[in-house]
Amino acid sequence: MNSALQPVDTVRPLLVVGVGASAGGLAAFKTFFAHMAPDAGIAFVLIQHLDPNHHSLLVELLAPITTMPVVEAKDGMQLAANSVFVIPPNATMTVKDSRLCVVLPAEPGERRRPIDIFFLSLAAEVGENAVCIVLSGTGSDGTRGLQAVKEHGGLTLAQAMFDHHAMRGMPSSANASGLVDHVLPVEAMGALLVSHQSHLEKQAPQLDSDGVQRDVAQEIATISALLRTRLGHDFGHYKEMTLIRRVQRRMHVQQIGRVDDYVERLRNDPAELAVLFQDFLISVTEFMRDPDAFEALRTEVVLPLVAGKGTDEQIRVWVAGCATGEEAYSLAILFNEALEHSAAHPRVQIFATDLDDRAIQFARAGRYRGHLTGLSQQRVSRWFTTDGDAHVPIKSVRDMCVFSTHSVIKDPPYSKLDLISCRNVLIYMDAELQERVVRNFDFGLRPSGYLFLGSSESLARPSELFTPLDKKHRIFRCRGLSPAKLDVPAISHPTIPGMPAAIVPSSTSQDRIANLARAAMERYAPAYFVIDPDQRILNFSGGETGRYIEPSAGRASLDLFEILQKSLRPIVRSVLDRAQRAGTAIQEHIEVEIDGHSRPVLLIVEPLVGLQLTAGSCVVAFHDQRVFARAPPSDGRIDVSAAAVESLQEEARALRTQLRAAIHAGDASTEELRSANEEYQSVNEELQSTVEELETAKEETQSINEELQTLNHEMGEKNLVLMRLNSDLRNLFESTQVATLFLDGDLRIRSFTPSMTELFHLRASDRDRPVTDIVSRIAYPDLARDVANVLANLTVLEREVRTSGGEASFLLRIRPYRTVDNVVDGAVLTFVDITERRRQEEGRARLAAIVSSSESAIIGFALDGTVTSWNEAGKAIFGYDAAEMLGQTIARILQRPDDMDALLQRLRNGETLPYLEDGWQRADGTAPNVEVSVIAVRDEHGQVLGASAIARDTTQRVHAQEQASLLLHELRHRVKNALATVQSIAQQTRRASASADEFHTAFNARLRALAKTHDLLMRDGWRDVSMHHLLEGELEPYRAGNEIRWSLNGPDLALDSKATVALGLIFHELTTNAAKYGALSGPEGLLSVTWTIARNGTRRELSLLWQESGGPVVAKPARTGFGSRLIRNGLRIEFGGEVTLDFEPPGLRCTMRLLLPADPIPNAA
Amino acid sequence: MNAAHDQDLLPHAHTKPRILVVEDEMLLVMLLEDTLSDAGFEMVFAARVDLAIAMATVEPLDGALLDVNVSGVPAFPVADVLRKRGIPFAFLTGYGRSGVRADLADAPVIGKPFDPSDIARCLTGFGTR
Repeated sequence: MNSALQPVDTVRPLLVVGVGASAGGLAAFKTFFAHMAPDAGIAFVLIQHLDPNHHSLLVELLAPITTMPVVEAKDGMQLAANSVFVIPPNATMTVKDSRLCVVLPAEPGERRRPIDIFFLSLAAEVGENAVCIVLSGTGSDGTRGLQAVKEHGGLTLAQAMFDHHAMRGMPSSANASGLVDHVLPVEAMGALLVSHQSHLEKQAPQLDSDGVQRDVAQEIATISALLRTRLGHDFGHYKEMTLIRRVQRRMHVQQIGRVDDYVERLRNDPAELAVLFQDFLISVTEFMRDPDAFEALRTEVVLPLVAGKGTDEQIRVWVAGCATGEEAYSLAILFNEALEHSAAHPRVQIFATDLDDRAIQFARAGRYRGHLTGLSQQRVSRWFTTDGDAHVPIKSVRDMCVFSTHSVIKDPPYSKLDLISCRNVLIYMDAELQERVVRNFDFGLRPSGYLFLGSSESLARPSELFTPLDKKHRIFRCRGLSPAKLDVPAISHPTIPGMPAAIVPSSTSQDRIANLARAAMERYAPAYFVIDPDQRILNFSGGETGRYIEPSAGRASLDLFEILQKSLRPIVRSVLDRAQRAGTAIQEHIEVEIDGHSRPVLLIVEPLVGLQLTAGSCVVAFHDQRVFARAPPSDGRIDVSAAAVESLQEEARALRTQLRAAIHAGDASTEELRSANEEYQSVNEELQSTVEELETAKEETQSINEELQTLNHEMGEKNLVLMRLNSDLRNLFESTQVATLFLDGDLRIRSFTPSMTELFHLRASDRDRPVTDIVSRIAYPDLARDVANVLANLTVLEREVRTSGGEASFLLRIRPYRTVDNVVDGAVLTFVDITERRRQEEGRARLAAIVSSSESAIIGFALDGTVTSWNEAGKAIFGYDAAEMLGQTIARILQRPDDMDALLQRLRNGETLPYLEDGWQRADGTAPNVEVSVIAVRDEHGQVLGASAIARDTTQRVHAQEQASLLLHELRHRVKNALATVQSIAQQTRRASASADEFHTAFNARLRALAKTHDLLMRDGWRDVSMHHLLEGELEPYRAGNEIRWSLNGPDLALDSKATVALGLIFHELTTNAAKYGALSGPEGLLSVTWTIARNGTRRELSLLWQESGGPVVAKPARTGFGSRLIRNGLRIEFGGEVTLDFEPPGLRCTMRLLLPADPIPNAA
Repeated sequence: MNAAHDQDLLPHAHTKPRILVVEDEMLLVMLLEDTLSDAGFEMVFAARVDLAIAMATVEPLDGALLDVNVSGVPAFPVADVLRKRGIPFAFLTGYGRSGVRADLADAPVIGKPFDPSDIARCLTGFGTR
């Protein structure tokens, strides 16, 4: 393992790839390595932004994905190619001298930014061999480090979503900085890294010792020209090395090896040109960068400035090169803090400018994500608000700052400034450009204004314009020496007559007097130049200097020896030398060629002493000697008179004076124009500032407009929703059958549904009329009182009302009308027509009465067998009352409760089960005599809802049927017996008859007697026949008028059918015999029948005596006839009785004794 | 017992086949007596089932005619006794064959009213067995 960690090839530049992700980045890591060639010669360092307590299994999880060794990083480990190093949990890791430094534990909480920390060290350590990748994760860790990697020439990547936009969270935060070279899916990163690596490898031999590709340096001028012509930005004076490195970096990113190809690309691809431009402008900044410097600025500049101004005065600050605004806001914070403790409140205006309009847009938006490096928590909470994941400066901070794109090189400076902060801008410029920019600053500053530079910057030549206030922290103060300042005194401080001199700053007023005097004396004074030790001209005397000047061709310069006439340069240089050496003034007469004439001129060189300027400055003066040293004509010949000469000379003098006056006038107006120009410039600047402000205002207006539009849109949407609701409501109103009336608190009609018009005679025009004014069909005088009650108690009131005619009923419900805000504002009356319901209720009540009074048990049950209704007859039939059965199942009245399921199934199938007699059970366990019909109850669609069983009590019917069948059986038997009896009578009668006539007569008589007894039996329902009736029935035909010749004496005796038939036949035979031969045959005869009843055990014994008398003399018949046989044997056979028959002469005497069944004897005497 | 027989009604010698008639209708008994006498049989009769059982048990008999319903009492126990003794019998009933107990239904059934020749034929059939 250890050997694998050793660098494989020390010659090859080792590409070190830092990969950052948060806890959720495991999937991204896996995908990354699944698509990464294991032998690309790249070292990987994985930084996970993790909860410190989170135990990471990253090493174990990644090991199977790649063949590269995956190890947890340890302090001092050497970086190696084809290896993966994973940050340990809760650690901070950096890289130094190709070794990893691991510090445990990491900083806690929000300040923990392991990805940033590693990227920063990676950038410093390997420069353009660094690659940083930001994978998925939340927050903004990695963004700051990525900036550093890019600044040092490294490659920057961020994870894309499927649609090539940066993923939310860390990748999107990094991308928002505008510094990500490639946003791409994780799968594609491996291939890119491999080709990037091989590109770097290929380029390596072309690099010189500084790591610079030589051919790039040659083309920098071309590239600068492209940027100047295409984008209008001149980088001609930027530091070459910086530009070369930036171009080289872009070439690496694009993997273009030859600079020619890259220049060609720039020509053809405006996008690449724009990206290169952005790269040139890479500016890494943060809040309060160099905190010590800012602290110095606060105490030495900000506090004095605030203290020195009145409330209606203004402090003007220019932040040149403000990048993404952190510096401007830092200053705004400092000023705000100072103002908090100040009595006076001067207005502070910070102009913040940058070349990069993307940076300016970012600064204007002022949304800083993640941790605000450089600011204390206290400052963050005091001066920022949080909006989502961004910190936004509060209004007082934001309002101080005005942002605009502006070039310090190209554009005129702002004016009347109290402070210029220009940090880390000058470092990109060469000396000449720096000088120009600093002069511009000098112009823009008020006298004694401050200049604040970056920590690695210094003022070079124009340092005479500024004095260092704090050398260490690069704070300078303006001296107020610049000519521009001299020219605008009237604007700054108008002279007011009578104003006390004390309030005028003395130094400035003396300068002014001196300046004015100098201007006056200029005409008489020699022309001079003030130069510094480097012979750079610091000051010109005025117009006369022109004669001695002959600037060299080429670049404009203030070098004295490039400006002086060529012929003067050697002599002036030698005199200057002497003067500087001697330290005193040296005068020398010289000849100067002026206007084609050689003129005597006194050259004066005098070192300036006592000024605060660098020692060695001198004045170089040329004094025209023509007045004093007029040279005599060389040939001595005089052609004109002296007078003429005099007059000509006079004229010439006059002309000269005139000319000089004209020249002065011209000079003056030139001066005026210049100062006017300066003024315009300033005004222009002011206007520009105003434009900035207006632009900001416009932005605000636009955003307000945007907001209003959004609001408007929202209102429109709401309006649509309301319209839809409204139309829904209207449709509801029109379709509802429920008459509804809306009343306000005064009982005025607010609105109503159409069906309401049928109840109250309402029209649309009745709105707002009191409801009590409206004629109603409803008889309801208490309406007003009830509504008032409802409104007072806030309860719901229900009432049944009828139309005046009583033909319709309504359920009236009054409830309070509550608005959406739950405020009671009137009442709602609903009238539900319940006429039909009433009618149905009556019908139902009638049916219920029928059911309840039915003698049949009527049982309703559901399809699961649960009893739902049970009438009173149910109790009689099954022995259960309703309370016992409701809710139980019908299984309770089945002999076999298990049969219920089959029964229910048949019902569900729609069967009707009529006349079920068996299988039912009463409460006492017996089977009732019932006939049950079970029918399914269906709804209107034929769906079976339940069932109803009707059980009829069949006890009486069964009884009657038994009776009938018994009777039928008996009848058959008796009829057959009767027929057999007739057969027997016929047979016996035939035997006793001598002739057919005799048979006929006797048979008919006997048949009639039989029929008569049957009649008697039938009359009494085949029941008992009274002895009296039987005898009377037999004797009745022999009654003659009212005369009764028989007497019947005995207790009333009921005879059963058998006895009746037997005795009936016997009495018939006796009566027939008496009528034919005995007591009833003559008029004197008498018949007496007497009988008694005696108990004999359980049976009754009947004794009867038939005694005839008064008839013809009786003789015993010759032979035994049918009658005698019947009388003698009949009773014996049937009743075991005894019969004696005595044919005594006075009359027939017959006695009978027979046993009758033990029937109770009615009317037993 | 006291109604076992009557000399007046049954004057014949004991050599004639004896037939037990169980019947409670007086006229029918008289008719059967005539019919049996005409056909050369001697008749003994009982009008009550208990008497009939006693007679069927002890009397010398050659056959029997049984009414099914004798004063409301079924006569089948008499038949059981007769069958045990191997004495042939026939039912004389108005109920028809359906009124006869199932295990006795193989016995001849003569309906009421009857043809006297049917009685004679039936009784003669007894003698030939």
